[in-house]
Amino acid sequence: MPNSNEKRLTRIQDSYTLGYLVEDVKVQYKNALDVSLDEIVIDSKEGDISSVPRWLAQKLSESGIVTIQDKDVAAYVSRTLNLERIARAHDLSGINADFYIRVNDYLSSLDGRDRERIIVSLNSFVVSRIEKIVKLAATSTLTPAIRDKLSVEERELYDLIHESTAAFKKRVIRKFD
Amino acid sequence: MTEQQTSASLANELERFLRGFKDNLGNYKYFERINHMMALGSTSVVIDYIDFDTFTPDLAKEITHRPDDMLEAFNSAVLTILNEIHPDYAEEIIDRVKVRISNYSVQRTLRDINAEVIDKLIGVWGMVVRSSEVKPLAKRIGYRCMNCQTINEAQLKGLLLKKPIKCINCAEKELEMDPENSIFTDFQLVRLQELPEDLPAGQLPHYVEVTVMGDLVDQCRPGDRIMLTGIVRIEQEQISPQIRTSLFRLRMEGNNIEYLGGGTGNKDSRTIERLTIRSEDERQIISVSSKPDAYDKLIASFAPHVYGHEVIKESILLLIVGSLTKKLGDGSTRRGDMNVFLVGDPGTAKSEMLKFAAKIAPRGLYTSGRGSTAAGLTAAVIRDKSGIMMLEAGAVVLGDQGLVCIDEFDKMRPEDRSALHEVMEQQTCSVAKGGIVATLNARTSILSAANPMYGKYDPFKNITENVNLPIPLLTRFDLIFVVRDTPEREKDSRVASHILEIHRDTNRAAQPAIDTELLSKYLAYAKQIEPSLSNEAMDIIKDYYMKMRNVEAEGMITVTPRQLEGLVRLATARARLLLKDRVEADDAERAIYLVQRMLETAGMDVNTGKVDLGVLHGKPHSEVSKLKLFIEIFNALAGEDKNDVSERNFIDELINTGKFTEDDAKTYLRKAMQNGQIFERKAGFYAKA
Repeated sequence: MPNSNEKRLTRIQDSYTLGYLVEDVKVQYKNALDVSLDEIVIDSKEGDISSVPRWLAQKLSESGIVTIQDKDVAAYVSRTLNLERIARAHDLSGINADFYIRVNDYLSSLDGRDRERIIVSLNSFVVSRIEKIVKLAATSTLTPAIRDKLSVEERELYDLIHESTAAFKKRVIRKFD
Repeated sequence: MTEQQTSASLANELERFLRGFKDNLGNYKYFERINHMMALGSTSVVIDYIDFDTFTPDLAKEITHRPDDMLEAFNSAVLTILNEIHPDYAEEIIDRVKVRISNYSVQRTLRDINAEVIDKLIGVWGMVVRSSEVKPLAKRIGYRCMNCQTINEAQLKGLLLKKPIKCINCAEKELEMDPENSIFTDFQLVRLQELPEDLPAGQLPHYVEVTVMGDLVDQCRPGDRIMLTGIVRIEQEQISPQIRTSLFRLRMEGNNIEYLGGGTGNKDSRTIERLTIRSEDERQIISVSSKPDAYDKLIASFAPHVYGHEVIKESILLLIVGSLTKKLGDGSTRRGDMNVFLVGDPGTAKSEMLKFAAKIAPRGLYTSGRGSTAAGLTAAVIRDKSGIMMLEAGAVVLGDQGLVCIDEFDKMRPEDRSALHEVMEQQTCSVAKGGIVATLNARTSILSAANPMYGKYDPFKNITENVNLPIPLLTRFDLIFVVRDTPEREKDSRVASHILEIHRDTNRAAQPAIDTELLSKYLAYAKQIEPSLSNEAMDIIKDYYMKMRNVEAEGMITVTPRQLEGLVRLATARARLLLKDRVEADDAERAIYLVQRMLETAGMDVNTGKVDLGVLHGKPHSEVSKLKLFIEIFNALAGEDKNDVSERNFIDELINTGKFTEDDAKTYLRKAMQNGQIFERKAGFYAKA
């Protein structure tokens, strides 16, 4: 039975996933396509490039109709992992709010060996960030500057740690008038 | 040894304060602040002097006289605590930790900085008028001995750093700088000048050069009004690199910057004025605004020594309060500040109203067009004695979020005046000179006044023919008022009585309905109100706009989208002036009334007697249509073969249309020749070019 924190986190992740899926991506048509389904109207010739929501692009790509011309996700992931590696011991590198959602989507498109290689790098990335988050959350509330550097899941973790440590501090050091 | 012990025991005592001070809520304020340093990535801790004075009054007094020792001990106390809780972070910022003193109660004016306060910590207030580029300053330089590789260190003293003559280890003279063993910090020179309102009559403003380092760099920009806490230093004047005089220059070493009217050091909380509105003032302000005749009273309190001109006074009050600057999603902004232009006969109290506006408006500045240059109005890049390029703010930058009154606008040199084009619409001021490329904020309202071209306003000429100003600049004014001095027995008698009464008893005759100081605070308070536009107000403005767009089917333009925005600004400013949270129907109606008043004077085409905004754009519709008719008749007379047209015939034809007089026709003919549209092929005969 998931607790309320987990439910909340799932809800937030779902909404960000939705945002990620409706985001427009560029696709190039391999064949001519003429579709009119409710609000989706596509009339494209072979070689045309247009923008469609990601979920539709993925469906069309699975059917072999288009090739997705998304930004270089491999470079994006590798750049983000490297930035964390070179960051100072107490300094979090900035990642996108939906970084883990993007990474997981990317991982699902990879074959076994490539996926393993990235997961290995991701393990140390996550451990490094958790260590810094714990340290910072124990000292300060989530400031806008720190918030901008964290993913949505990390923001929840930060708040959780901050609340717990603040409550713990109150419990162990009593206030006297 | 004793000295070492003293500084160590001092650091211990200060550590006790930092660890033990509790605020009203029972929180360990400074321990928490030090604890937060890592999360905030901060290298400084701000200490409230009042807290320090409450905790250890004796030590607090010491900081004025021994600031160097005390601040050094403070830094080391902070480092000790930081080292205990976040050793990694402490190690990283070990050379950059700074304690800053806020709320410092030992304050002096810039005029009172003298030899007495050398090496003392003092607080001074003023306006930043210059700031230099940021340069790295060596706090410590390591020199590597080329013989034994020993690092010889040179410490910074004042702004001077002496290179060691020989190696401390082997006496080798060849030493080379080693950047890896040197410590640098950001450094900036700032000039702080006396606030205009503090300036005694007939005196030049005093200023002091301030050095700021570390995270204090770029914390203040030209135009900011700040309270600076710092140590007064002296520097020996030099005639040449070898010869030093016994004269010294005063300089301040900045410790902390607080923004006047704002919180403690936080730039975002920087508000409009040093003018502080206490709760007692707030009560008075709200009581004034809640009276039914509040609006009339406010207008009557503006320049009470000037008789009449209620509409202009009302417009100036709305100009001071201004509207809200809207930030759009794409980062662009819609300006909220208004610009008002008064043109009129000499002796109609325009300058008096401008001066009064500059006096009561938050961040108000007054300047005259005759003595103002483009650089003086906007910003100038100058080279300091040290060779550093510095940006010096001009009037519109200093008046950011305030009001700049420019008198004798027509007497400015055109090239100087043209610098205001960007300011009046974009509200920024860009400089690209001497290696500095900067865009400064100039979110200021402009109130200017000018005389007509030939001394007196000619009612038979349109405004552009009366005023010697470029049309693009004229269109940037939200409101333009023509102030004419027409003899009217009853009015003149009242004006004369009013002036004579002032001369007899100054206090009684010019007594404002609301005290000037309170009015000033009222306006500063009103500037903080953020009313929203109600549906009723929107409908009224829209209806007026649509109505005015349809005045003449022939294509006469009476109002443009620029005026529509102006209407919204005026209506919002009125709601703000009455401290309302909504722009209501009566605000919109009053805004329309003011625009209508402007159109009836400045926006009237004297040829047709109708309102036509084309007048302000250089060519009223009547002239455009006359020119069109002129060309049509000329073409008809020339025929398809483009024959020469006889002057007499042409003039007669023009007169026959009923739209031209003989003089008119001759003037148009001359203008067409000058413009190169037609030319005289032989005497009295014209052909199309």
